[in-house]
Amino acid sequence: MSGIVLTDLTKSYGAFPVLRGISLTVEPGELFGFLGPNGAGKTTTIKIMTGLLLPSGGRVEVAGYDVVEDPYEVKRRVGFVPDRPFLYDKLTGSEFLEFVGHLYDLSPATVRERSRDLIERFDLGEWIDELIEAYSHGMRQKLAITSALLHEPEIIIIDEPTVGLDPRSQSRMKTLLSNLIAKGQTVFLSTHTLEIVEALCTRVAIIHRGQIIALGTVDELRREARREDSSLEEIFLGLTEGGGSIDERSLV
Amino acid sequence: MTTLFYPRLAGLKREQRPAGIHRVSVPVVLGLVFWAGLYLIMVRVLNHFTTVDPDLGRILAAKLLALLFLLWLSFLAFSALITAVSQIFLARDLPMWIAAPIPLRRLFRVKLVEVATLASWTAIFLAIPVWVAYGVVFGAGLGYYVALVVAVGCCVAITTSIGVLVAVALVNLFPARRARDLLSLVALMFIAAVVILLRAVRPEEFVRPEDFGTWAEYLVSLSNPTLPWLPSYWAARVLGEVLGVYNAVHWDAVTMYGSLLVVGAIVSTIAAGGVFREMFRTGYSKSQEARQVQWTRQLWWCRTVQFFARPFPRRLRAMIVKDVSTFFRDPGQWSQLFLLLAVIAIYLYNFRVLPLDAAGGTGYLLRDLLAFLNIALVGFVVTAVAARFVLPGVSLEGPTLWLLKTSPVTIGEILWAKFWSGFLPLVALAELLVVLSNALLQTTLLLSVISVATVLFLSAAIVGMAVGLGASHPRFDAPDSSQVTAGYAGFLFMVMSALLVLASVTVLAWPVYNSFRASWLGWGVGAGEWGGIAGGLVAVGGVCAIALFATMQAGSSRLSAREL
Repeated sequence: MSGIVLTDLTKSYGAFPVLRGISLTVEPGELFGFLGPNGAGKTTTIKIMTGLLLPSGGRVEVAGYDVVEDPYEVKRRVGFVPDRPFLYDKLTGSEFLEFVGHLYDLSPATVRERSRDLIERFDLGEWIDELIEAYSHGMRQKLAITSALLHEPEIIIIDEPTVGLDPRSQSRMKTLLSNLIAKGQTVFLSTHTLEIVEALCTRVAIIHRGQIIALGTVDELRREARREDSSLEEIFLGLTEGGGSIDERSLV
Repeated sequence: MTTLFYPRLAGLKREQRPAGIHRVSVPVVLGLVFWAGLYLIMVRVLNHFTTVDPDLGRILAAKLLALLFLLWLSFLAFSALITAVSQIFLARDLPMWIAAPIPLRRLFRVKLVEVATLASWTAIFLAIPVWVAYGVVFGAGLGYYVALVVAVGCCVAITTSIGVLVAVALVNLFPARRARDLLSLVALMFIAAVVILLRAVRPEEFVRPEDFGTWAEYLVSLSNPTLPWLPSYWAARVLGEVLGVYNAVHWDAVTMYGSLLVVGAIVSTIAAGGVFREMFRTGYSKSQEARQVQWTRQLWWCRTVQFFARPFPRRLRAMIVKDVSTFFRDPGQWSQLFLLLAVIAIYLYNFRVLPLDAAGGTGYLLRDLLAFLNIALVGFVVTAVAARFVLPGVSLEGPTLWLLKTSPVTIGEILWAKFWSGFLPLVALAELLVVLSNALLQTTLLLSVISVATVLFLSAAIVGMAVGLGASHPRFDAPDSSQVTAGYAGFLFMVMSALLVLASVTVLAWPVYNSFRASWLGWGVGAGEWGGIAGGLVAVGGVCAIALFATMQAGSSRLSAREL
């Protein structure tokens, strides 16, 4: 099994550089946290990793395959949950799951079997036969997560997993992420919820203005930032505050 | 007040900027060609009327003006009603307006102007050459053009106000339905209105003077006002009088019908404003209530869809089932099938009532010619239906395209799923039309075979072009499919499809003529004729295949390269 390898990744929208030479490696079985302020380039990085955007330069390998050269092989091995999951409003939840399952060549029986536990875990059972247009944002998020896990992907890429989730679902989400790691799956998690990162992530990268300014475990980040007693939030704010007083280069 | 128009004006201004020169120039050139063509036809018709018999010509010109205004007004009214429902209850910016401290009377004014502009610009654009032709042929002065602006303005004000009024009232009358469901009702109402108007006008009488006892009766019948209680007649009468179509200008008529127009515009606007202020809030609230389309979730329906999708591989099948299910669960989409049914009924009825017997011994010539031209007509029907239902397919995926693009599905597979979802029903429709019309015309077996084969090729190519061009030029921001059809991709598709239909018919014309001539002259269709027809069909099949695969490939490449 392979993880994720980004090598000198760049991306520009016209003349505006969004990613400026990102390099990082996510090991298989790792729960990797990807942090950064708004507009730092998190979603752009994720979109390139999932094949929604093409890189301007550099190389991206996911599950051992190049996303530009072998997008099909990458997509077969990756489950993706976007921050705002737009789903088909006119399908019911169960129809949607069956549809996504078929895209990954799963039989209806397999889809039913694999989704049963997740539907229960996220309290979707009551709503699963209703049209998605009647779902709240949180329910759509739960359905999107369920659908992304149906094909048991090697790597799961999640953009803001807890936005719109109620406290109970957030707690279940954390348990789910831990279970995925326990099963050997790799999770790439982009989030603003630093508490989840601090509690669950094996390693963290902080991106700011299109560059990785910190990379390592939370403890490594504390040591490098010479803030042994600081919380991740304080480290994050210190690093991303206009210019900051910390030597950003020393952390990478 | 101007602040409320700012978002739309700013958006419009920005939309113009990135457009390449070809995007602007092609529609402008074609628009000018259309204007010139319509203008020349109208001038020729009106000159013909006035030169053959000046008295009858003037009556016919007045009658034609009234009829054209009637058609124009009915188009405007339908457009205003649909636009009113969309802009007042479905527009995406509504929650922001409603949450803001904006008085309802101001919101009404903004929505009225929006509806009037969006609903009328196409109708006015189409009618300008007709109005100018009348002015030129009858030597109109400045007064005609001033009266024209006032009359058109009043007609737009009346139809827009009534559209807003009816839309607001209907949403309140059907509380359990979502606003979009109204469109199905609107479509039915439009069909009923068209049928009623056609019956009221009785156009067949104009070409059958022999049905009248005397010439005078015919003239009197023609001189009778066409639906005098409608604003279309008031406008036509005012303009006809100012033009001098009725020999002399009757100022009392100008004053009366002009006053009716102005008063009608003011009264309808005030009434619509009152209804809007009283009923908008409750209507908007009710329009948000969810309603599900139950029958598309029943087992028999699901099994039927699955049955038709069964021959396809699993992934393609999943996408076809998804496309069909989402289509039939959106009343805004399927309700338009009512219009399609009306078009089919009128289409077939026209073949049924054709006076082939009146053509005497040459009836069979007319029959064969009509059956051959019917291929092109069916091609145009397929084009219109594909433009409305197939072309917007990729654009409507819009925000959900992330799911397909991150799944192990190629863009080609997505497009072919859309192709099959559109092709199967459309080819069935096209073949039904061609077989039934050929049966009504009692045409030859040879021509029936040619028609069936050509329509099969054309349907595949037209649906392929609709999917391919829809993918090449998607509009993911379009709020509904009609805006995709009315956009650049729709325009390009219509032009290309029309050219393909005309090219196919042209390719077949010579071999078909040769075979007809052989049978008319009693020679029998020989090997040479058969070879010609086979060659023609192969050529048409080849052109259609190129059109299908080239546009699908282009669509696939462009959509693959498109970043989300």
